[in-house]
Amino acid sequence: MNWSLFFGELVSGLTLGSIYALIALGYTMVYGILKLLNFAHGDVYMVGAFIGFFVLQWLGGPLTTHVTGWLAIAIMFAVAMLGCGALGVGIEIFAYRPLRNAPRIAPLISALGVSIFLQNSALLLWGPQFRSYDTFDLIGVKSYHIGTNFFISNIQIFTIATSIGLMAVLTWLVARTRTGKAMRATSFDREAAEMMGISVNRVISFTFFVGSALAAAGGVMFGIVFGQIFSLMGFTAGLKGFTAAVVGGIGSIPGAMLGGFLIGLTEAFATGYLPGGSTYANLYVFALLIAMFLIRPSGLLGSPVIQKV
Amino acid sequence: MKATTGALKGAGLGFVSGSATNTQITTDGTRTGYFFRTVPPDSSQSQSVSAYIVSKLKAKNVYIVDDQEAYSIGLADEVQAQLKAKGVNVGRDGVSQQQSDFSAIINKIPRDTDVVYLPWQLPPKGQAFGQQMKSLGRGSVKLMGSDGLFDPAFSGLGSNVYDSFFPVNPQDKRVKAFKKLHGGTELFGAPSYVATQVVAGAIDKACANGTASRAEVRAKLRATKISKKASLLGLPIAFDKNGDMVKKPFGIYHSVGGVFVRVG
Repeated sequence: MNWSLFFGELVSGLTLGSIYALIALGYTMVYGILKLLNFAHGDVYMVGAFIGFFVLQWLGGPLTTHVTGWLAIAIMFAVAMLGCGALGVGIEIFAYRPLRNAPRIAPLISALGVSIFLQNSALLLWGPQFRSYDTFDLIGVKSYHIGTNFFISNIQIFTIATSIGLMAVLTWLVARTRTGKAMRATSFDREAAEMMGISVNRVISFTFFVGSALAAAGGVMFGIVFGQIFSLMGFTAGLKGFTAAVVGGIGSIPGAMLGGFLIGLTEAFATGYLPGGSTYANLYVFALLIAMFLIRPSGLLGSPVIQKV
Repeated sequence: MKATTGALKGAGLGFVSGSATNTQITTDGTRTGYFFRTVPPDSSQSQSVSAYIVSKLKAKNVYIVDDQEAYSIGLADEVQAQLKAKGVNVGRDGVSQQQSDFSAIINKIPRDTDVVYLPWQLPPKGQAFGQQMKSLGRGSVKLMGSDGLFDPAFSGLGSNVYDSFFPVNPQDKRVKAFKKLHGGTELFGAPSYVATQVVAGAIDKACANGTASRAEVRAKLRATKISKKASLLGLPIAFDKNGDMVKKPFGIYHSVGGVFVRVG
């Protein structure tokens, strides 16, 4: 057994999975509240990556930042998360709220429209070229090894730890706070929640804010770990995040986290071990989605929907 | 380029490329008399690259990662075959041009690899690959790029980076003026400029008697002769029967202080 390869793919899969999990959380939260697949979510992730990039430029660029590298990263995260949170709220108000009582296909089409609008706006504003975060210049990348087989970089540790930290905060927010209770109530029965005095519109807006902020964190993480971002990066990432949400059980927050890590690990191990793995990694990922639909349509941690007839 | 052949040939048009390097374009016979190019073919590039890897870099283990496009696969196939013929151990894999996460494939590259060859077309992707190699503790492995990666984004990775590129005469006053104006980042412009010279020259000669047909223009393309002095490439331009330049050397470059310097 080549343990170096095994541990390498494990760390790569967890790193990539951390990003997919953050995207999947937005899909699953919105679906949990509105039963809407927000296909613009991947593009919100892309916008987050670009906001992080422009904040870095505003701070002086990776070589000559006015603050220390890690503080610059913290500012990039904060601004990107706030900016995309506001974008998510705006998308909900203008593209989904007017269609809340329309047939379910209408907001779905609207979501696709928002996705294309964001993609093309990014192409128009920022062009098709790749932008580099230059993480090496910003913070310096160090690689650590345990024995001769286990290698991990400080960036990978940072990504996995930050992602788990954000997921923990979200879990606390939903499970232990008054706002979280309102979110759960709205998800369970929107009308009953409204009759109990919960401001459903405010709860839905807050859900979009949090989901979009997590996607932005994923976008900035992607730029830091993999070095470069581009205008069309949201499409495939969004599909993978959606796949992660479905595999984990759409509507389930722990399911989205599990699904994200599972998709990341599938991609990494497929690349490392399966024939033509790097070429067909996406094939294996989406095969997992199809298999999940066939074997367990409600996902790993999702509950089957029981409908009265 | 291959996809346009039917339409252009069907209309009797000659066509000249300043960037299409695939070897078979001129050797498969389907475009003979119609197609000409002002860049050397991949067979020339692959010979220069494989010879340098073996004789100068003394590599015993090489890993090739193509980007799954026709240009990249063709070049990778040729370099792989030539390296194997010289007794080098060669591993091979591919990535998508859309991919930005190379960590999983970097894990697959054996630890005793001396050189990773990247026949890619997008310098930012080459830059991301090199940065991820470093972050995974593989920064000492030599990277050899192809003409598509001949860019400051790739050379800026450090002194472990090598590349191959078309001949360009750096002393030509037009090249100097271009570099001064644009920072010298787009050297594909040189063979494209020469391709335009070839086309303009052929049309001019065909029209000398006041009339011209497409067949005449093709014949004048075939008979092109541009002197070394008039060519930005630093070598005379004339075509063989297949449409390739008679003289077609490829240069090998090494990144020194973040800038490519010719070493072979």
